[in-house]
Amino acid sequence: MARRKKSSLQPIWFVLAAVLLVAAFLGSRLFQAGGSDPFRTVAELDVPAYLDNANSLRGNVYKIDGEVSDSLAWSPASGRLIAVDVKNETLPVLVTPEFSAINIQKGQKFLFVIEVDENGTLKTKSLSQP
Amino acid sequence: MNRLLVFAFLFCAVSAWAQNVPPGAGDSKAATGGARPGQMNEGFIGRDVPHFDPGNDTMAYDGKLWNINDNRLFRARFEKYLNAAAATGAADVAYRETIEKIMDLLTPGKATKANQDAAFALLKKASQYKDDANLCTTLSDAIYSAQNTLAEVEKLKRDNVVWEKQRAQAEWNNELVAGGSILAPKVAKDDAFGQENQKLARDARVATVKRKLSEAGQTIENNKVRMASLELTAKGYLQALIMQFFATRRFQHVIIANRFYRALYTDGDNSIDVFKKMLDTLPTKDAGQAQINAEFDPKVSGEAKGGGVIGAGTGSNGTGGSTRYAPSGQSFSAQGLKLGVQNLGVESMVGGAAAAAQAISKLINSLSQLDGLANEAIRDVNEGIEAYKFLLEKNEMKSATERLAETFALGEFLPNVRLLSREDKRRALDFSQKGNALLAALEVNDLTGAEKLVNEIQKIAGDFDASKPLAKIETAKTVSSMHLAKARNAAASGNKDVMESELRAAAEIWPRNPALAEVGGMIFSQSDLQQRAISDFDQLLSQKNFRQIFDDKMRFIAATAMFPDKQEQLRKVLDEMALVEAAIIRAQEVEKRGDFAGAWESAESASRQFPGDNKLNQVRADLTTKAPDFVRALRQAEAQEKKNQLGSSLAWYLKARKNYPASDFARQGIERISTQILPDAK
Repeated sequence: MARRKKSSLQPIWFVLAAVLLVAAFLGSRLFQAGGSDPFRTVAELDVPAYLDNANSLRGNVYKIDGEVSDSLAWSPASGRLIAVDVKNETLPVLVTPEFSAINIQKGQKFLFVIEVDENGTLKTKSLSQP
Repeated sequence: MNRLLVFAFLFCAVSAWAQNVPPGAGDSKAATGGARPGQMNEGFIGRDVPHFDPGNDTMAYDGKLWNINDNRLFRARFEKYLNAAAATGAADVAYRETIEKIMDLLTPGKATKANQDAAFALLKKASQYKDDANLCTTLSDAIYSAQNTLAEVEKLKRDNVVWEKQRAQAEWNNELVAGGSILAPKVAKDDAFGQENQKLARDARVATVKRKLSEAGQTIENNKVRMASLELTAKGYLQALIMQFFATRRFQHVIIANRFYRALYTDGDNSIDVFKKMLDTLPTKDAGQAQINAEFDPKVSGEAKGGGVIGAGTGSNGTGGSTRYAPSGQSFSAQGLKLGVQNLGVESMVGGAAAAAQAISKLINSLSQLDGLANEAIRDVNEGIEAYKFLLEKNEMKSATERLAETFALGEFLPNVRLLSREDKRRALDFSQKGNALLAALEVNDLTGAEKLVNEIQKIAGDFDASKPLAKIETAKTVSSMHLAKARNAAASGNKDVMESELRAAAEIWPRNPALAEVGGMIFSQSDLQQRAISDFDQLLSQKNFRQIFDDKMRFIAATAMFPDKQEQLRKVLDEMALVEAAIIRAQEVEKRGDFAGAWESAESASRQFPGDNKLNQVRADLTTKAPDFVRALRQAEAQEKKNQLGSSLAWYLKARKNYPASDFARQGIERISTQILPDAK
């Protein structure tokens, strides 16, 4: 007796479905990333250039993404001086008092928008946690 | 007594030489050993007569002592003799034979007129030899002169005989004339005129006779005075010559002259009173240095007992000598003894005649005595030569040399002395030279040389007593060493004055002390080194080259010991260098643990305090290559800090701390920069 042709899903469909799922995931992630950086338009600090000659960067605003490695000093009036590990370098960042509400602790990651002042100090213009 | 007189002669000869040595020339001191006879015993013969002390071989005269064996001129003459060959040449032999022949011909008992003539003839021959020094000619002349004098005296005697006859005749005539002539016409007693005429006629006849009588008497007396004067002249001259021969140690000539004298003057008068009176006229005893020339050029005056002054002679060269002579009941005076004292150089000085004659004449009264002394001297010399030869066989060179020196001094011209072989004399010369060298070495305190000489002399002279020189040598060495030790101590304590005085004292005692040069050199070298070290220290200090000072610290510590201010400067430098060294050691210890950054930081810390220390800099440089990242981070941090780039500077400090978390530099830098960024940080 002729066996009744059994309807079944072809493997190709499973492959396509998997590809689509992956693509959808990656897309969503990509979207999320681009959409979560609030300082997308701010240039990242050229750390080597800064270490070599901060004068050339004086007055410019950059963003840095790093992890707090130490708290160097604190002044209620002037803010907090912290050390931030950025790309295997450690940069001093002055977190001005306007961000005193934010608890900054060692090991926390932040995205800083900083300005290179006249004596090369990186003053925080903005910060956010990624 | 004979020996005493013989040595008296010796002294006079030696003193004649020595008096030509400038005062203070050293010989007198050497001769007397520096001693002066402060309380000399007058002695039984007083000081006027030299006397010999056999105990120490010294001759005492006029308050001075002379060592007969230790006189420069005598030594020189003695050494000349010791170097001379034996007098065995044909001329020497001929001369000796001639002298011996003369002496033989004049031997008492054989001295006939013919022998005397033969001996007189041989004098000319003897004087041809150089050893005679023409003394025989002088003697021959003196004898000839004496013979002429005697002939003149004989002629005067004969003249006087004639004159005596003439005087006797004149006296007879006088008596006849005074008595008047029987053939003369008688004059009446009351014929005054006639009486007067007779008296005048008799007086006229008597006057002629009286004149002749007076002339005869005057001539006779003049001749007598002249005979006496001539005899005195000849005798005095010969006696002076004999004394001169004796004083010059020409003993054979003394004997020969003496025998001629006795042959010429057979009256048995051997006294030398004439000569003594001549000597008394000498102005000073210093004339003894020269040769005596005795000569009569008389001014004669005679006085007859029964008459007035009957005559006077004249002379031209009288020098004040006078004597009175009274023959045959008459008196006369003879003035004008000429005693020449001529300083004619070595030969006359060697004679030393006057002083010797003056001294010896006090003990000698006759020529026979002088003859005996000469014979005694010859015997003594011969015995001395025999003794010398015997002592040579026994190898007793000290005694042998002393005997030979004495014998030579006494009988330098005698045959046995001249005949001694050069080989025999050379042994004495060797000893004498070494002895003289020893004296010289001791005089200048050449103790090393003296000790060597003592050892050498001991080998050649078994009888040499080395105890005295060795005692002096050892004592001087010990004292010199003590002074040197004091000088060394004074130098070590920086007492320069004491050091110099002690060195000088050591040098005076033993000028050629080998240790003197060594110690002196060491001291002066030390002094020089000290000065140089001080100079180096000042220079290095001004250059801040503390490392060099530290490396030579022992030298500078020693050099600055005497300078407190320098010592303080050095102390500061060494304290600092101790810190540097500690830092280096610490860095090296840290390095050993593999902590290169920590080691560098330790070195860097010290280097900042002592930037000029090369060793520290070198250690730091070496460590820099072993911790390059840390060092670079710190250097960058500092560079940025200097440019007031506080941010980047702090970044570099943080980087450095990251490399070496224990870094003090990084910590300090972070704190410093942080404070600058946040001045009001809490």
